[in-house]
Amino acid sequence: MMKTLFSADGLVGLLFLFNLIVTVVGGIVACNAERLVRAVIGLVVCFVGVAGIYFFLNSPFIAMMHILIYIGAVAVAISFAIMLAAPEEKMRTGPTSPLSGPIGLISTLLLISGLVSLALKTEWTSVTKINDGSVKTIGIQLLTNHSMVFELISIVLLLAILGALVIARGGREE
Amino acid sequence: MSLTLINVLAAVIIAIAFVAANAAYLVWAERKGAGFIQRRPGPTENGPWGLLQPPVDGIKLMTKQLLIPGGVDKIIFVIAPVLAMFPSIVSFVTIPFSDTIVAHNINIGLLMIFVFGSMSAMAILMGGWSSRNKYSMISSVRAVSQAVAYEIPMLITAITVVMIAGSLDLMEIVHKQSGGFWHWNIWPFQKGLFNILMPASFLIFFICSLAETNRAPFDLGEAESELVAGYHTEYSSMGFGLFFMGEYANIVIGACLTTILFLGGWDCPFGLFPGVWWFIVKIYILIFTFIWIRWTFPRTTIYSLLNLSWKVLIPISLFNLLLTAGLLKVF
Amino acid sequence: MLFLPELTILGAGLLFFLLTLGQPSEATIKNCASAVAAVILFTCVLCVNQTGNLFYGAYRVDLFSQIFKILIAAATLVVFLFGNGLKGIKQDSRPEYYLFLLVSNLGLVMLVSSVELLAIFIALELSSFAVYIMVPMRTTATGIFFQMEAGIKYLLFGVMATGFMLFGMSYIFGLTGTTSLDGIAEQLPILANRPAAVVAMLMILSGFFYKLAIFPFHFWVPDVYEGAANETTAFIAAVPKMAAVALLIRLTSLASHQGEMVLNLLMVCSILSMFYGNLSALVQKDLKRMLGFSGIAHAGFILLGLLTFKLTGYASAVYYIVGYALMNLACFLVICQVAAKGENLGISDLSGLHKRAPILALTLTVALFSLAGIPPFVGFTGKFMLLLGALREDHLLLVTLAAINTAIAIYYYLSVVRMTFCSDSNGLGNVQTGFLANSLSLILVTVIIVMGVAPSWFVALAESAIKTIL
Repeated sequence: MMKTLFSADGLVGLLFLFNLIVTVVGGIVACNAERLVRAVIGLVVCFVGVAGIYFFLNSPFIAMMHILIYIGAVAVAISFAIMLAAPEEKMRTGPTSPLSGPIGLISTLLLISGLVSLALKTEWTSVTKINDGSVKTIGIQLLTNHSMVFELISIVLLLAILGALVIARGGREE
Repeated sequence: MSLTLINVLAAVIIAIAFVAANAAYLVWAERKGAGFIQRRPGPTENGPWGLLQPPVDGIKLMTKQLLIPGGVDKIIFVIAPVLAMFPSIVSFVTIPFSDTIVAHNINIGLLMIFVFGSMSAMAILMGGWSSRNKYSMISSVRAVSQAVAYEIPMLITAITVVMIAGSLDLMEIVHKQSGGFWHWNIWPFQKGLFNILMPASFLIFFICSLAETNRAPFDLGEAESELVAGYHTEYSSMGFGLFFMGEYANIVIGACLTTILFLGGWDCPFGLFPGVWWFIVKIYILIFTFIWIRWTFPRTTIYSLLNLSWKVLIPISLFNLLLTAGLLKVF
Repeated sequence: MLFLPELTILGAGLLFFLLTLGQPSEATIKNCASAVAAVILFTCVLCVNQTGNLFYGAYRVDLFSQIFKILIAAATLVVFLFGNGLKGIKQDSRPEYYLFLLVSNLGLVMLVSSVELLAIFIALELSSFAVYIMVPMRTTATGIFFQMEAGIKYLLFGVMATGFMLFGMSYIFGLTGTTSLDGIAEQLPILANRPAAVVAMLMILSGFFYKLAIFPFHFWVPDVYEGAANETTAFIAAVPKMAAVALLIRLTSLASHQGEMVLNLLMVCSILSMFYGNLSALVQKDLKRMLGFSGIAHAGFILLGLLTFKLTGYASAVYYIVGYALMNLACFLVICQVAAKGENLGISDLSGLHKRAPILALTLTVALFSLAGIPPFVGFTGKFMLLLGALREDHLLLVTLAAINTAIAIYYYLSVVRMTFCSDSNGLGNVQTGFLANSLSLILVTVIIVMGVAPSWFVALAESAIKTIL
């Protein structure tokens, strides 16, 4: 059955497409921006799109946490670091081969077509809703089925903090 | 589906109007309050007691030329003020003013407000960086390090309240506190526990909302004696206006959140006539306190500011979090 | 009891965390590290016969995982013992270095027991992050200034591989709706004909290919080997690879239903790894770089065992990786001892080693002969079993190419041996070796020979362990 654009399904699909486009455009900006800060902003846009997809997939809590952590903390920390380091503008100074553009384009197209045909050829099992994505369910899951992961993540974070301190403590040795 | 869409749209429009009106008249209140505290009259020329000053200011801002200085990063420069304003408006959508007056209550409302609050740091960074101006840059770095530092104790304190209420739903948090001022979270007895640190939590939250909204004595980001006007130095006309409105909207949101989390929302202190008026009274008392503090305390320095957060507020709030969790578990 | 080794490692980590807070003397740190590693090995051995599930089925303790835990703990003990002085690590961060090593160890130990995709992912990340931090901790006093660059390269390639792995995991989750390996194993035969399942499996495998340095994911190897301190490189070269093989066995046993496609790709990866590693190793002047490239080639050999999808193949892969770890540890023991200040060693720095330090020269020779696949050492037996297993599966072309590679490899291994024995010391002084290093090297030599001569008990053990997971 052909779905029309303005039915409920169509609108929802449109929303999904919009989020996808936001994500991809953000990613492209992040990769191609000449100024690092712009790249960070592209990253932010990308994160917004991803959060939108989470929201669309019925996990508002994850969407919110994604924005809170990735935009509120990660992106801010990155841009902070960039400003403190005051890098040279115009990063792309090294000579690039004239072929790199076309080769990149071709391989990207190949990759895209591969992924698309993969997605189309696969008979995906119909989407099942595992749980309602509410805070309570997530909490229960984190403390039962995924309790080990939950605890391990705390070790990973501790490790990251300690590692950053150890590397940064002595300053740069020249 | 479409009905809720219209509801939300209407709510957004009302929120914009509310934000704009508040911003306009809070400026007036600020100037009048400053005048009162410094024993001078404040605005008097336009209308009785200068009441027409805000619309006049607004017209002035809107009719001025939107100047984009040469050398700025145009795209980011233009986006930044919008990004400063937009999250505040969205946040209003979930704030319940009373049992009935709420645009769209969602069960993770508190989280959503914090999420959009965290975006404002990004807006400040973008505005300051794109201006390509030393002062803007320094200001934005300051403002953001401050925002990041104070977001942590604020979130931890909020989590403490959430644990007591057992919900992220703002409505639910208020309901848990209803029935008189002795039920409010500001007091040390909650749900039969005696948590001595709750008043301290309230103070921490209040201090953090001062710092998060870049208000004096924590307005290091726009320290006009050192940094011209901070991150919005290069902005003119409504670019500046949006930053300005965003700031005042954040003040209102800070007051609303403090009221909801600690002061029982629209609950009447004596258990009588709960309703939206109590909410309004409470938030304006808090906002007046904001203004009061601004004009009576001198500005701190950036180091003492950051030290206060990392060395005082965060340890206390963390301790309170652990204490509350322990109490909840034991009793 | 099920969780005892992990708890011991955690406790050891805490101990070192406390040590980082004070200012312990060198001797304290050394002794603590050796003692702790020995205790960990002891608990691992103690718990070898435990079986059971923990954490709601995300963590499985069985013979397979326990044996790998012992191997990992033993290899770590060796690294702790011979990297005793930590000469290549900044003076003020040596306790932290041990802390990170232990955390990495924890990640690896948990990795081999994880039977759930998320747990696998996080455990892998835990082990990798610690190593990413350990690489730039090398001191610049050794005359090496690109340790930070090496660390960043390691991190970036690692992130890329992780990205592949997560993408694959998301496909698997989308297809099966579960993250536990058991659930996936039930459903995969049904999904075998779907291309997405094949691609997903390959992408998940690639995360471990990265750890094992198999061809398309090998780019980090030379620079990291060269940039990291000798002790760090010894750890990277031996310990994570064992865990990677454990997980590759778990995962390829899932992928075995998917037939030709996976098989062909594994074959291609294997051949390319062998050729790339060996041909690049031919021209290396730096000993660690050479060992890095040879590691790529050996990883290709291990794939030979995995792509048989048979019990014996897996068992010989386990045998081979253990042997490989032993040979590498022996090589790095020599490197650590010869490099008195923790500097990098060129191959020419080994000249006349037989006069300067006879025991080390012997160890190095045995290790290199073994790496080259010369009987009666463990490397020969391992290669023989792998080639035999592949031949039984009619991968004749593969076996031929592998044999050619063995021949290529002999050249560069033996040129090092020649440098050790057939050249003058060129004024290089004697190498001071302690009793510990000497006895450790003799033990390693003995084990390499014994395992090479009498492989059957270990292979039998490996087989019985692998039977528990098939």
